[in-house]
Amino acid sequence: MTGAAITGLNVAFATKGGIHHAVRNVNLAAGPGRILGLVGESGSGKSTIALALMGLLAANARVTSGALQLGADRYDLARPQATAPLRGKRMAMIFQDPFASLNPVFPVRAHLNEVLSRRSPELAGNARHQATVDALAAVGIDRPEVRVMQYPHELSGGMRQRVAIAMAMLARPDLLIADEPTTALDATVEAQVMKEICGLRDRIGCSILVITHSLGLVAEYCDDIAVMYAGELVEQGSVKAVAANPGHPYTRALLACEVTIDAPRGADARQSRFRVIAGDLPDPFNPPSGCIYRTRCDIAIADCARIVPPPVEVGGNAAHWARCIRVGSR
Amino acid sequence: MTAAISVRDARLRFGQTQALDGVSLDIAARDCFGLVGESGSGKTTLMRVILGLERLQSGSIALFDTALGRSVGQRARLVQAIFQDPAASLSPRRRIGQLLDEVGEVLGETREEIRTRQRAMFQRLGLPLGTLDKYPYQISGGQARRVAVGRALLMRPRILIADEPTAGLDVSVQGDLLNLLQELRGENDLTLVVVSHNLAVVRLIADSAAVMHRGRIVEHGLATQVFDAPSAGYTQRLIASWPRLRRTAV
Amino acid sequence: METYLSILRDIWRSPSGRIGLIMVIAIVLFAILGPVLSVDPNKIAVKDRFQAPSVVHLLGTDNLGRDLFSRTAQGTRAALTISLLVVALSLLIGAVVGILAGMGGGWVDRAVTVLFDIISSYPPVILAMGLVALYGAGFTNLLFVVTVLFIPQFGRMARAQTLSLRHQPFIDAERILGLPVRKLVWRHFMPNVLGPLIVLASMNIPVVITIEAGLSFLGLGVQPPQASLGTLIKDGYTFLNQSWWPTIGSAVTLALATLGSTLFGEALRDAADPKLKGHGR
Repeated sequence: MTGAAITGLNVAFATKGGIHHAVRNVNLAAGPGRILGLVGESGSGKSTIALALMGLLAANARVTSGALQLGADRYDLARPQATAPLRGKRMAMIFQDPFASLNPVFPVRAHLNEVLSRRSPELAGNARHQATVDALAAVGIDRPEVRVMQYPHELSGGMRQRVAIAMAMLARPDLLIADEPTTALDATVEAQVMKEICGLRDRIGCSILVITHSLGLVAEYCDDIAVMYAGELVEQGSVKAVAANPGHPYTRALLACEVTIDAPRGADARQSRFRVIAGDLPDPFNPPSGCIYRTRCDIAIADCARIVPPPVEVGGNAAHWARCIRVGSR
Repeated sequence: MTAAISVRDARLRFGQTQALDGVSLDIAARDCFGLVGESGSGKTTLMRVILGLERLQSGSIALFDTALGRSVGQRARLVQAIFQDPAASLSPRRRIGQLLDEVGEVLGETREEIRTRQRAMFQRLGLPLGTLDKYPYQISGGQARRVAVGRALLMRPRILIADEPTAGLDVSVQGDLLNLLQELRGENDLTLVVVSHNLAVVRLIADSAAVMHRGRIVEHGLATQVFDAPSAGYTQRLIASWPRLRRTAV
Repeated sequence: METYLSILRDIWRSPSGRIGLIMVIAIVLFAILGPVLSVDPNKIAVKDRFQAPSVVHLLGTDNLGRDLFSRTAQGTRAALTISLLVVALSLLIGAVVGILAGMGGGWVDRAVTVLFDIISSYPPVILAMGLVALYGAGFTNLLFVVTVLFIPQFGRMARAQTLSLRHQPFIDAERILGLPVRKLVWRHFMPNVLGPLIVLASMNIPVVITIEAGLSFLGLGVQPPQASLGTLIKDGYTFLNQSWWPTIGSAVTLALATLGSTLFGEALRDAADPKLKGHGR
């Protein structure tokens, strides 16, 4: 396995106000056996990327260009249904709301069997049943023989998300996309579910793309990080490198805004203040010239309005870049 | 120190679920109190009981040493709330101005009085006066949040309850609301109750806090103790599972 | 206000809605202006019976020589009056009862629901016939009976709306403010309940028109000499072997009135649906 790479992805939405280029020229690479955390705030286009990969975009959206490289194969994402044959085989997805993605009229067993019938058609009868039970046990579900017969509504949110992970595991994909997999879950359950996703990576060695708004989650569980802002990728690198030395001012601001459980706290809670990023997202129909972030940036210079920043290496690390012409200055 | 809210042995059951299982709690006046817990822990139910939106099956609640009967009016002057989705807490077919005029109506103020206070409040919150003529769906989420805060404060409550104030907000904007709450708390001599699943935020903003689990309070004390030196096993697990930023690693 | 204008604009934009709107306007104008423009609808002139349409009698005359144009206009006016009154009354009563049931809960709710079920378990025309037989025929009784028949539809919808509104955060916010229940219901439930009810009302107008015509056809509704679309069709039907046109005018009017208001109602439903459009929430 050689991982998954997205190149030159552009997605446009036709809206009342005109054409909205929700994703612009995104290049992403998720190495094999690595978890790439794609972070961004609402409106950054991070979920659009996942939907574009799966071919599940809304009717008014169109991939204008872009390709997915999966191992030795290349898929042109601008073609309709380009990745349809991959779903449930070389590519699997975990959604935010597992209750909405599991069909309520079928028991857990049916969901797992469907994946098996696509991926391992040679399994039948007892062998297939055993495979489904084993899959549930592998993602940490207790009493898997009982759970496999139950319906989605009989399971808790965390349990349903584990079923989704078990389905992904049986699919043995090269690329797993998890879109806000723990947003609907409590912190303790989030930790368990993320550990299962890490376990899945270790077991089948696939590339995993985790889409989230939580920097904390990425820092805790992911290997690499990619930061989106207003439809553009502004920084990418290993979690270690980016957390230690963020190259883009937006990444820096996001890290500063994150409220951590071990943040310094004065004796008087009245004095606690919180960081914000001043200003608003740019108007999607009338984006600023040059750098997309310059209207909110605290270190912008005149050149930022003229130059569309190319990826610039950060800290002499070839795998860590930021699209900012002021890398190194703060 | 007088207790702004004092709850004694509160019990409430919904069908199979014991939402409140003998909760006793004192919240000191002028404190910022954080009520944390996971979904289904009973923290939202406790808040709704204090607000009079649910009725206890047994137990009692007193606000500033006055036991609460069924009178909604009496309660409304003491405690107000802002909800998780502020846009959905504004009645959709009425203009913002009409919604704010209701405050004057409830308090028995003249139109002049309430309008003057509205304008002052809008100025304080940085809302354009034109917002008064708009319908809730015509304003942005951020504006709706400020309108909801303003409406609650126009009632001049002594207690303000914020239900999941940061849920669904991006980190770059959540601070805006939290800072506003911090400032308003000082300006208005408020007791602030923050109900949230966000441990990290409550740890910074609250003077004292309680952790709820399955309808009970499992830990209660100063925020620094609860979050930095928890004694209950559940609280320890909760805090351990909260993601951290590995800043130190290179 | 701009909301209502944009709803009208949406209706006008859909082809069937535009046709419906034109038909409705035409029928209403006919009902209002028809009697003004023509002769006394009840003037009998036996020597002029069964005349074919002409300049004097645009739709000809009936078996007693009465002018059919003015009688059809009078019948249309009766049909529209009854249907509007029935729908308005049953909407108002249904809304109040439905909201009270939804707010009250418990036995009030159960009693109202059972009552609605009882009323709507009878086939409407049969029940109307029975009630009219009990209380006697005539305009007022007809109005009363059909109104009762239509209350459950509105009441149920109002109740369902109320139940879902009760748990909306904005209702909680109003309750916390300490707003008295009366004002809460009037200001914050009513406007949100009313929207779907008005759409339902517009879809019910053609149904009431046909029920009125049907009952009058059977002699249980509007009483002679007062004209109604139903009695006109029946009179024409009785003398069909002597002359066929008396039925045409009233039948076509009935068809146009029901078709027009159905098309209009459907277009209104589509235009007012907040899920399809951006109006309100």
